[in-house]
Amino acid sequence: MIRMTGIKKVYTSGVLAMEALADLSLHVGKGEFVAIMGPSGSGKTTFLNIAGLLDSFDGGDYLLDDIDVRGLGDDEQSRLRNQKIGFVFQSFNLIPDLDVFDNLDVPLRYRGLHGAERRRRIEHALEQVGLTARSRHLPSQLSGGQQQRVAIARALVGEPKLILADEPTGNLDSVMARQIMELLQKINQQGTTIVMVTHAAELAARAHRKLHILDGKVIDPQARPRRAAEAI
Amino acid sequence: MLAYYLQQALRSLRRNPAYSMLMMLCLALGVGVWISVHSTVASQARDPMPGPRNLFHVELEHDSGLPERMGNAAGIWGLAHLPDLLLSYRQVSELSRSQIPSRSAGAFSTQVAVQLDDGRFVEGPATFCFADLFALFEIPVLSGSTWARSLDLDPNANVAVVDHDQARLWFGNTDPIGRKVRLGGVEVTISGVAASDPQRLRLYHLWFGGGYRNGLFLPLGLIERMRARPVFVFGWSDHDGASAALRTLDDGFVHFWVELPTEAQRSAMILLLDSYVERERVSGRASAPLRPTLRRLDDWRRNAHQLYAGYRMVEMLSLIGLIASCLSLVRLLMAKFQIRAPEVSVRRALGASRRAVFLQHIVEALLVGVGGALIGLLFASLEVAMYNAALPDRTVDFALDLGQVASGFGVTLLCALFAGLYPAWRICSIPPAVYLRWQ
Repeated sequence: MIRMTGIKKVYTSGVLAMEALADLSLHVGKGEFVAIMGPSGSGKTTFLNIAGLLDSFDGGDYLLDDIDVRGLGDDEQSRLRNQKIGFVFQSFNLIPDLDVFDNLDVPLRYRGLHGAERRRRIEHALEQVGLTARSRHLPSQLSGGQQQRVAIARALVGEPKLILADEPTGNLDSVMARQIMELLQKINQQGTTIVMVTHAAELAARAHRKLHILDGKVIDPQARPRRAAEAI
Repeated sequence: MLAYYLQQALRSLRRNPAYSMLMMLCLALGVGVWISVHSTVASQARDPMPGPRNLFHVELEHDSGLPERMGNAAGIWGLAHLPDLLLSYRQVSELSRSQIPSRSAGAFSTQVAVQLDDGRFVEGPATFCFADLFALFEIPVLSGSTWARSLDLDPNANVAVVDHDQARLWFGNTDPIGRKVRLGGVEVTISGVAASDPQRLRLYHLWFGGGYRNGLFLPLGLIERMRARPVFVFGWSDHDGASAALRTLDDGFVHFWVELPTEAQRSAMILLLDSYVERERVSGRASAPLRPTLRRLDDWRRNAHQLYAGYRMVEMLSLIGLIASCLSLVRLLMAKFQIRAPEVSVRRALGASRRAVFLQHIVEALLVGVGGALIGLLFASLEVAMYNAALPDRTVDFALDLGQVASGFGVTLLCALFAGLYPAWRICSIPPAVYLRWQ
């Protein structure tokens, strides 16, 4: 699903240049559930931005679902984001003055689906996360766990092949966190690839595979056990 | 998708109604002033006598030196070159003898002191003219009659026609026909009442101290006896207003209109004017005519209208105000759109292209434009009503017509579009990752 080879990303500010990703290579297969771990500043967010086509990269190759994204224009990248990727953020990032239904409607509008099809998909996604009864509530009228379920429903509503999640349980209590992880596992079992960034080892343990990022590279914890262990 | 953009734009405007109203007011103020000024100027330019035109204004362009003598006053009223185009009393007297035009009329307006038959002294406008002025400019005579053509240049004529509104002002509801009034020591009898039509007045009357009302119509020849003259014709005053001096004076202050329905008449009139100019040149007059022109009425109207440079200046100032409004709206939209950057980043993550974000914000700017246009048109109509109330002596009623409302609406939308372009481009150009909070 994701094949990155030698990805480089450098942020420049005036005369200063900071290498956020340095020769990062990784492969995530279709249907996998991969946990990405690493300390703050290691390059996890930059990796997610590039994987989600939200940011450009300065070198290397990136194939998303076998499509070479390098050189794609904004329209094509937006279309790929809309059709193939769902995002789940730690801080939910729901649009505050849109109710649950309208928040889920956003990606479908940009896909140009007609009204009946949008309604069918939204109702199905809400059913999957158990929030059918809350469709006309504003985000502020929901608990943190419910908001994250809405965010997951919004990621699911476009039936993407890949979900990128960043600390999806970071703002939730342990009960809610377990429910969300179970939901993500269920979604993965239905065939959706999930790449999840987390600091929590017990959540990462639910993934098929763990990858560690340090100093902008994917490292093999077996090959460099001490440093990885220190970092994590 | 447009319906969605519209829905989102409405949502965005409703989110902060006070700020939205501020943006609309900002645009509406500039637009309101611009539309009202534009419509006022357009009202002045509107043709009050549409239809086929056989009427020509005779001009003998010459260097009278009057604009210099008038000094700043000429520039203020935008009439600096008018005396260089008009004919002297002598020239009108001579040219009016021609049989080429079907009809002709000299006309000169000024302000006169009038003693009414009850002894009161009043001041009022007066137009000294030929009897055919009424027919040429379709000024209805409501009751009584005008004077015979033979009196047009007769210094001893003792007849006048009074404007209907002026008659009511001077004589109340009593019939003015047969009443006697005195002007400059001359007694005249009112023989007719003409309809008041301030719009029509603009065609034959330019500002020469006569105001914007007709007042009295008197035979042109009476100015010889009454010593009536424009204040800037200094040459005449040097001769103490003597009749002989007026007949030989070269200063131009009289309009001369001719009706030439056929091409043959027009050609003959041009030949006549050419030979007249040549004769004037040979006679060795100090400011002999240089170039004769037969100017069509509508052309004259436009030309005379353009003379009022003040209108153009006010129009330009209102345009600068409109541009300032647009620039203020740019700043307000920039601030509004910038605050929404995190939401835009979420939308970009969910699949909105740069183009979609740009269009959504342009639609919002246009919606501000629609609101601004509606409020602006309301402002404009109030301002036009204010101008009407503030200028009782105006020659036209200022009004917004449908075309001006439509063009005002269109201009406002264009302004909103212009104001929205840069902020919309800025917000759609921000990389989504910059404002997206992953954590």
